Amino acid sequence: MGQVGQFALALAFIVTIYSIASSLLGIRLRNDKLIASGRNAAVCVFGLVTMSIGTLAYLFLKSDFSYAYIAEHSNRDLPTYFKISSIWGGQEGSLLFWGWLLTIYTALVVIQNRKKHTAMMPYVTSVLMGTSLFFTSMHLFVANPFKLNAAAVGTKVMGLFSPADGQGLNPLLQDPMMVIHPPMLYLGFVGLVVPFAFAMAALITRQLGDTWIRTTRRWTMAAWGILGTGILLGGYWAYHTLGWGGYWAWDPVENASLMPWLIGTAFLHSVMVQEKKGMLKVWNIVLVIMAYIMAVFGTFLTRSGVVNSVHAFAKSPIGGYFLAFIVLALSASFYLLIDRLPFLKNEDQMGSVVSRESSFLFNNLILLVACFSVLLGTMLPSLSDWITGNKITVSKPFFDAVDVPIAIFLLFLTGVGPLLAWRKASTNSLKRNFMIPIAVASATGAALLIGGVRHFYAWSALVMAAFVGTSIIREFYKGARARSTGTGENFFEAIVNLTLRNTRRYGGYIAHLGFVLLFIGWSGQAFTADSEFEAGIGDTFQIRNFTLRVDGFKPVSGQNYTGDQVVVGLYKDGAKVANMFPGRRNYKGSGEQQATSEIAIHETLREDVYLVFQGGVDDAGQKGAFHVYINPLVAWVWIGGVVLGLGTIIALLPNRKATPARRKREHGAEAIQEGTTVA
Amino acid sequence: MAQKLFRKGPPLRKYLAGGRVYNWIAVAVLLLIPLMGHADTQREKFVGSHLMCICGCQQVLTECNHIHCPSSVPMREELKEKLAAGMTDDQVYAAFVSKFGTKVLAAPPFKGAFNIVAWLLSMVTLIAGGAALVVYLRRLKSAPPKTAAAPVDVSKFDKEIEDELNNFTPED
Repeated sequence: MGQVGQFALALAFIVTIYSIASSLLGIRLRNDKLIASGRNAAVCVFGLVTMSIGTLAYLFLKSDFSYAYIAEHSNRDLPTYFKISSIWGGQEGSLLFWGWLLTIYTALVVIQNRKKHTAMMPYVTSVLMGTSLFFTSMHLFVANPFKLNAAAVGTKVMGLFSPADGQGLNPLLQDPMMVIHPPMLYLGFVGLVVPFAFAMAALITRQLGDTWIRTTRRWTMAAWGILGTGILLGGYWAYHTLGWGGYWAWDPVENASLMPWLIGTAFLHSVMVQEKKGMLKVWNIVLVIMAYIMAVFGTFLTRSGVVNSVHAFAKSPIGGYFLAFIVLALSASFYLLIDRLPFLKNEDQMGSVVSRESSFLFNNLILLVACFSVLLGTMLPSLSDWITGNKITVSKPFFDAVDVPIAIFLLFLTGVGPLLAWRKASTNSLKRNFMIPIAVASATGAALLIGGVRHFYAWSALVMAAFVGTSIIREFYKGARARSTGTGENFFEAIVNLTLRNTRRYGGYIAHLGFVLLFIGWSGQAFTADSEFEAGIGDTFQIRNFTLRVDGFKPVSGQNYTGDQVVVGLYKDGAKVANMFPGRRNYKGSGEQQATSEIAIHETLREDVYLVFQGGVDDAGQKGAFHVYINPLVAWVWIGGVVLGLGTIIALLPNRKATPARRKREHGAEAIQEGTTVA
Repeated sequence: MAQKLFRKGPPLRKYLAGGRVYNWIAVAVLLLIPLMGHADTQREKFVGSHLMCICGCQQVLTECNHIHCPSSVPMREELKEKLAAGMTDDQVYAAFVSKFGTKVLAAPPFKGAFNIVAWLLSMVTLIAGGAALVVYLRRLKSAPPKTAAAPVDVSKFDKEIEDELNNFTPED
């Protein structure tokens, strides 16, 4: 059966080459049929790669262990949904998954634009298919998921064999979140290929006006939103599964996903300057190129063995091919950019240092420095090994010290930027707009000090959060009040209509609000407490104002695991608030049993009680070792993520058009609003 | 004196808008910053979070989640003993480095040219970039507005214009 998948891949490889050749030849010969054929071939590649990944899924479901990839990442007892998620559980399958998502995007783009952008689209198809060709080559020649299990002696293959059972999926990946998190992350990564393809097509055709930027902005925002969701889901998975009490460890693979997100954030802001003022054209293309390169670089980091990471796949020669592809893509895109510089002149001039457009420049500077510092920290161990011969370790203390101040400064700009006027903010408008946010931030700062907060970073983050939060709420209040006065709508109706009439602006504000909530959640890390203890039935343990009482131990079992579960009563200030059920599981693998912790978390908006059962400490199974953490404000990280996602979705929606009757009613409201808000 | 204190002054809104209050807020914040120390009272947790577990999990010592980890469990015991013996943070780090090598430190020490550059590079880039941006924006602002545009030789674009027109379709 695997031959079907293999054959589909080989065909996809040939059809991909045909698609590129046909598109480019079609332009050269001005032959519409050839261009259409190239477009159809791109859709056909999607069908073929779908057939290939479908075959892999079938092999997993049938537990066909004659294929090495199936034998290494599955076993007979694995539940069906984890058999499907095993597709991206290892190097070869995850690459095929990457390539498959790219073909989905490609098919969507060519179908959606089949009657639009006729000059640009053949190039867009070629760039997308060019990236696809690289991945198809990897599937076929370097990391083939359809390789048969071979018994080898030395370098000589002695025969094929099929083991009775597979080695099973890594137990840490046997979590429902792992069914969603990697696809989201990959969807985000791969989505960044689309804006890159449009940027390259715009450069090649010299059509560097509004068209490409409009199309690119939406695609980038969608990919950026999905990538951000994927990153947060990864944090959620780590927090609920790994058992070290946190959600972000500055692991190289986490960093690899953060870097393109930071560049995407920079682009989504600077693109507004291009749309509004016709400026930063070169810079925006540089950002699109960098986001794409960072997405591929992230994939390279995970698979090359260059960095040590808990997430990294086994070291393989694939890294060299990725590096070559990155160098090629960088050289080609920057050559094109330099060649087309005369077509990318600014249409307007920058305003004053204190203006909306310059605040976007500072925003971009901070985001790029943040990306640079993450990249630097990630690569430092390798760099120090190459330069000094001594491999240093770079972990949380380094990233926290370097990146937290940058992040707080970014939060500050999040509050300041939207309040500044384009071209030049007058002193009066500055005073008018900043008076209330500064007053609220000052009051918050004083209250926190009185309340005993002495951690400088946490204090700064919370003060900035108050500043930015107030400025956003004030913008909504001002807009809704003006609308309410003009249209007679009630205040909440006015907020909804205001948002739907200007989705980008107010969706952006909601996204900023999500960012504020994320900071509130992150600041909670400064106030954590944790302790380890041993306890038997009836024993209690006190941490802060919580008491934990062990009520019982019981064995548990599932389709592919056995284990123990503990019943722990949680009391706050003497009153019972919940029962917690931490546990340990031993997953069935071939040959060895793999143990994991099942975390119990009592989550509230104020703090989480996070309990890890480390295992029994006596033979009778009546006493266990535990690690308990008190993690304040973590819930705000997840709430912030949801709000950020909601803001992104709203910003992606088209503005609701006014009907003639509504336009008449709203006319007065907008006149009032114009007078009260900064242009 | 009391009369002077409670004399009716300008309305609060007007006073805030006057701007002087922000100077006072800035001064107050600057005075408060030195008072805010690092309030991590759990010294073991603090020192442990600057050391790595050497089992290969790539996690800091206090966060290694391996059950009965052969590395982090004895390392944490050793950390407790050293702190109980009255060693300073630096002495503890030095003792761990002499036993496990520099890889046991979760961040490079601030010494040696390479490490110092590594620590400062991001912040220096931010400051230099910010300064360059301010200079750039000021120069743009002070530059005299452009007068009549100089005549441009457009003949070099003739071929490109012709190509564009040939490729032009109404849908574009």
